[in-house]
Amino acid sequence: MAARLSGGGGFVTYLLAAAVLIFVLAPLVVVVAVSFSTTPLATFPPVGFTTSWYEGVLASDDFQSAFIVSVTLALSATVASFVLGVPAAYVLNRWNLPGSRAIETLLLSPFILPILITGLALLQFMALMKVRDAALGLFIGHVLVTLPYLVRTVTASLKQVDRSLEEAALTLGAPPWKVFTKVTVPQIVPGIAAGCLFCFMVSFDEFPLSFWLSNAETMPLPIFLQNSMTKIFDPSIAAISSLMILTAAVAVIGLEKLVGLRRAMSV
Amino acid sequence: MKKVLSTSRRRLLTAAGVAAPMFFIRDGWAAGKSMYVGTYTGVQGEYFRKQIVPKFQTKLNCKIFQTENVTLGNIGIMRTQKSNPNYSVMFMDDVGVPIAKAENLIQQLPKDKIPNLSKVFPNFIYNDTFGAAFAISKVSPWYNSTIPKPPVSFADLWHERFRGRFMLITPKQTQSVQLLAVASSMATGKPILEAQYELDKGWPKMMELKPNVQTIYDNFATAVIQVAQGQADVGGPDFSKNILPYVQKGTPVAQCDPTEGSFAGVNTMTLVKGAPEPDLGAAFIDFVLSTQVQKDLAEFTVAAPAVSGVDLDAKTAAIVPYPESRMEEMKLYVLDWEKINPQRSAILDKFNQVFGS
Repeated sequence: MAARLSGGGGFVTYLLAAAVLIFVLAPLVVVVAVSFSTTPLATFPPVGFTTSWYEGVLASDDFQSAFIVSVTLALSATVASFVLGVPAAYVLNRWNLPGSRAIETLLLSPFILPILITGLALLQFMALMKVRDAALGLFIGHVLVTLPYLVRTVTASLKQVDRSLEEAALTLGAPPWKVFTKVTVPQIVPGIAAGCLFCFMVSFDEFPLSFWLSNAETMPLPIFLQNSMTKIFDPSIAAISSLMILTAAVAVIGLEKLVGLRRAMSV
Repeated sequence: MKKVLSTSRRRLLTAAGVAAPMFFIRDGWAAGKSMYVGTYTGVQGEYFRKQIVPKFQTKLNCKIFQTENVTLGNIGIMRTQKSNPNYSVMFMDDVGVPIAKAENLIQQLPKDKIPNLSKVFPNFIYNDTFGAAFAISKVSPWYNSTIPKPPVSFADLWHERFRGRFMLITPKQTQSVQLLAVASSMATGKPILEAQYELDKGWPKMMELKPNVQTIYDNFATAVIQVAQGQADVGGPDFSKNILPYVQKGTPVAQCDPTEGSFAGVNTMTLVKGAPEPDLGAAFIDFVLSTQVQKDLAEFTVAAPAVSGVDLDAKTAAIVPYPESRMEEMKLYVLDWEKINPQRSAILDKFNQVFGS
């Protein structure tokens, strides 16, 4: 059970925590506030109160299409990252592979490279391979940038697994696959869940890569948002942004309900 | 013998049956083909996505994959895919055509496959027919329409009533060079089209502008909000295609008609060198240059058509620089980008020195 901080130190800590929270949340509050403004432009402070921007956005075929593309893309990138990332992390952590450090660095390299450059390189690669399907290009690109998040969190989880429990299970005659599914997996579930959440959110908000790989038919939400901004900057832009914030909040709440945020983030 | 005749008749009927749809679909040669087209973003990009591309697809029974970007983005894509181009048609501002041509990224437009090219105003055919304009905007300063004394000329941007109240366009964009050409004209006393060859002489005048510059903007969407809210009085210079959608929405901004004249912001189409489906690309360019598409596009995006003989509605005709005689009346300048482009890097550095210090 966590103890409460008290005294002067506690006060300063709470004050700093509150300041950080305000610093992080204030821009989001501004966006949400502007989305209800009755003004024709996205100005702050907002004037009046209306939900008409949301009604307009939700009724828009373009928004619906972009939202579906983004959710489908994020879910498929998350599933693919899970399928590829969990075994990769396990092998890197448990097997004594020659060059495992190099493989891990390679897997995590999308963290280091600017994603804009990765997108441009993928665009070139797709042209070379004569791949003209934007959905396929986006899927490959998104898996490339989401996979490291899953590998990282699962690797960190695996490092915290109590190996003596696995050894005990093996000693008691459990086959390796049963040890993995019954002993190892339950201990790394929070890490997998956190990794999946990161994958989903990174893909859902991804802009620089989609900028190069999308087209008018397969347009993820961030690209739709950017295109909308180049037309006219009215509160509907803030409404779209608020809906994206809401999606992120739902995903975080889902994680909390599923495995608990503290468990997931303590990896 | 009879059997042979009968078989021939059957074959003839079968062949006629197969050919019939091709006869009724006028442009059957393109059926089933597909190509990538890189357009602009914004209102114009949306109009292409929702109106022009679907109509062209229906007309030719083909498939267009449209992407929306800006001039530098489109040129970047062509550079990346130079050896294996995916795109057939690429849109870019007039300033980009000499760059793309010099880098061997685009090819000459085939006049025989683009009959409507003959209707494009000669001034708006670029670099020996490597690019053809399809929409022309006006580039000039813009301002908060509630201020008591709006600017009436480029020279007014230097006036002390706009001290710290002017939002300058980023030097990364073409319009900044157009402002430098005005400064050179003011410094040398020569007409803008002559002064463009002495851009170096404009820098002392640009230094004089510095006290008026409140900030430099990259993003028009945020700049327009600041000017409309009264945080600044005047901005730019910028394209009418950016400003007019806000004017039409009732935002308190307006575009200046400078006494010195304005600049033409020209959107062009190019055919990518070594592109897949070059004939389909040429057909698309021809379609966009057709009188009806030019009229519809101009009236929706409030930009002037690039071809002769378009009968615009009164509302659009009152605003846009059309026809060609009106472009001359409005003194719509087109700079010599072939000469200016090699200096762009040095101009950008000097801009950063002058306004960044």
